Amino acid sequence: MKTNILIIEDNEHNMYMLSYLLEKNGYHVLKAYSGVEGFQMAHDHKPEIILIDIQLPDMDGYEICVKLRHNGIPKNTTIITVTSYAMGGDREKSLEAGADGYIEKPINPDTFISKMVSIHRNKNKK
Amino acid sequence: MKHSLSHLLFKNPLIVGFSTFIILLFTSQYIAYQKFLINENEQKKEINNQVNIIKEKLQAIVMYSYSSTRTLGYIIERNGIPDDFDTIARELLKGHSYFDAVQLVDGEGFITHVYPLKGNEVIGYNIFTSTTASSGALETIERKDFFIAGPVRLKQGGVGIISRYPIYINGKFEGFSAVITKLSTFLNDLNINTSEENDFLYQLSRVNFETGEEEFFLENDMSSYKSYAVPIELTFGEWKLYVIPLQKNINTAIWFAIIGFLMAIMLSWSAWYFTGQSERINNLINTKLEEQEYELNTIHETTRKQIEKSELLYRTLTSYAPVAIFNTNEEGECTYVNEEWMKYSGMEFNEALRYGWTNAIYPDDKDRVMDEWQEAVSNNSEFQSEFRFLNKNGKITWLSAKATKLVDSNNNLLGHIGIAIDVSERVKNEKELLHFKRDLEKLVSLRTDELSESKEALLNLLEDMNLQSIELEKEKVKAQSADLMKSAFLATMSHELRTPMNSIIGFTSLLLKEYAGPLNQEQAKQLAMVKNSGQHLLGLINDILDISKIEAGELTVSFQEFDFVESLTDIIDFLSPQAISKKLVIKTDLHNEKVILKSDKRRVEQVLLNLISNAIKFSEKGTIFIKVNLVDSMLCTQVIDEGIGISKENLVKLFVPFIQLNGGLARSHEGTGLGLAISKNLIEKLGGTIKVESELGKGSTFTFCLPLEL
Repeated sequence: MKTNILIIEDNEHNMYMLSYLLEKNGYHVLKAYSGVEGFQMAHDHKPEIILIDIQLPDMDGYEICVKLRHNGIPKNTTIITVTSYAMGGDREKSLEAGADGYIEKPINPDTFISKMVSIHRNKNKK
Repeated sequence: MKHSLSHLLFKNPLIVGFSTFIILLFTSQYIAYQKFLINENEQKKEINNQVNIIKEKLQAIVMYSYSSTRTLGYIIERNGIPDDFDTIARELLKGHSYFDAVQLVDGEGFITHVYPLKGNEVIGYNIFTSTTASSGALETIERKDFFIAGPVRLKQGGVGIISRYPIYINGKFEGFSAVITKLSTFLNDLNINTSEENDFLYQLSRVNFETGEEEFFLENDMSSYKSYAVPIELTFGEWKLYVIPLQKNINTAIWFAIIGFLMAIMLSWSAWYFTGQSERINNLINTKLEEQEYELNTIHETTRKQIEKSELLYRTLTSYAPVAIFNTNEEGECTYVNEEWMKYSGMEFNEALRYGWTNAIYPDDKDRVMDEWQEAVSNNSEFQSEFRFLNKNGKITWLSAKATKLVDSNNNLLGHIGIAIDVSERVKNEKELLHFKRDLEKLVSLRTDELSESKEALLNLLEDMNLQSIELEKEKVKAQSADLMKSAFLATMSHELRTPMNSIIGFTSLLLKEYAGPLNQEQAKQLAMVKNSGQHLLGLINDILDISKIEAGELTVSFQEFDFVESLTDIIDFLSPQAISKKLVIKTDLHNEKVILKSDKRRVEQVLLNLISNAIKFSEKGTIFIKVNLVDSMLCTQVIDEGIGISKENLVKLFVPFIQLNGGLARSHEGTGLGLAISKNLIEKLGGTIKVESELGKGSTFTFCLPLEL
């Protein structure tokens, strides 16, 4: 049984790269190109891991985090924010919004999978 | 006379004290005596009550002893001596607590039966052998009837009465039945039971019918006490009850007398003291008054002398003063002028008196000065004027005069005293000045016209300048908004530039991972170059964005706890391929396995990356040494290299943005030259310090210190 991962990301290149990387590493990937779509898919498919791009055209990534946490997705779902802001305070903002972890853009394919797995494991340990 | 006598008596403290004492003493002793009488009356009443109670008790004892003795006698007369004598005796003794023994005596006087035996070992004793024991016995036989003997000093101890009844059988005397009652016990009980209500001692006596003498039932001698003897009606003999009051009640009266006496002494002493006090105060006041009078006299004398002295001084001064001095009375009439005044006027002293002085005034000024003078006199005000004196010899003197009013302490005008000084010279000067002034005014008005023209020109100029400054202000606002626009632009660029970089680096990495298929050696080499260039470009973009954030004041940091040693190790791992390729060695000197730092992890790592990669970049040989030390609550990290080093003049410019040392076009090293400027800003923003020590050709040491916790 493959682990389901939902990616919420509007940039096609990034989406392609992330999904390609994840699929090659043996995950089942669900793709959402907007906040609304991602929110809907999270409810329909109940993926184990959700990766959210913070800067989306329709919705703030933090906002999606808060909504997901308060609208009935399983509690053990791991939510990870992916951001290129790196303005400082992104980590706090993410955790405050209910995310379990935070990975900085640009994505480094060499380390991304290991970072994601470690956040997911920590979450399930709790 | 009578009044003064009583006054004298009242004023004499000794008499007052003594009479107070006598009055108080008599009063208090009288009250004590009355109290004593009241006590005595109460006592007598109480004695009567007590006597009645005791009399009844005694009567009861006597009656009972009588009936007991007779009952026993009858029993023997009828039935002879009973076998159960003890039983009968016990029953009889039960009747009264003061019955001590029941006896039978035979016709010869021998005691044959006694109950109780214990304490009464008298069987076989002949009562006729002792006068005390036989007391009353013969009387009984003689009377052939019951009789009470006593007081009898009992063989068993104590003093009592013996009731005897003679037994006659067939007319022959066969002995006595007897009951012994120890009355001393009864009395002792009464005396022991003295209490609050019963404040008396008692003694009982009876007249011996044989000797006719009074004999007592208690052995203690009470003759020293004051006592009340009350005869008691009892059968057989004269009885007297003595009542001895305890001292208590009388004592209260005595206390009363003593306290009264002491109070009399105290009060009379106070009376004596206070009457004496007023006398003493009077004396004191009188002494003070005398002293003050003397002082006043002294002051008066001194004052008089001083006045005389000051009068002399005044006259001397005024006579020789170089100004004219004059005095007037309350009517405004002259009373005094000095030598100088006479010199100005050419008048004699007497000529000046009353209104004579007015003749010295120059005719043209006279009316004006007179008016001013009259006004000052009638208004009680100061006089001030300038006028001319015409000397008899024709000389004119300009005088400036001033007179002050003289008033007494009730503000009544006494006159004026005034001085006048020669101001002829001044008046002359003033005239000259007036001429000057007129000339000057003309000149000034000419100049003013010229100036007003210049002023107008200046105002025009100012207006122009104002317009220009408004323009400048506008420019400034424009520049500021341009700054803001620049910041916004950079923020947008941050995202826009990084997104394609993300793709470039990401996909290159993916290709290098050969997910899409195997790469040949050349493809892999070229892709690695693309990736390397991409990462370099991303670094440049990040530097430019950071420095613009710093300049816009928008750089923010966030604090979280992380392991500094782990971060350092990560960075070294990341950079070691570069070092190895330049054959450089990176050595570390870490004192701790773990250092928890509360700071901005990403930014601290950025600084480490910058410093260590600089060290690699500017070294061609040797070792890069990284030392970590904890000093107080600061974490200090040193990055030491043996590279090209920095010259002294360049050290100053080191942390300035956009400058790569040894710069210009001949740049030997890639990079923006922003790294150190950014690092310095970051470290300072995180509450730390950064510094550098270096020598050209020998290497550099960068040291930065951060607080473990903000």
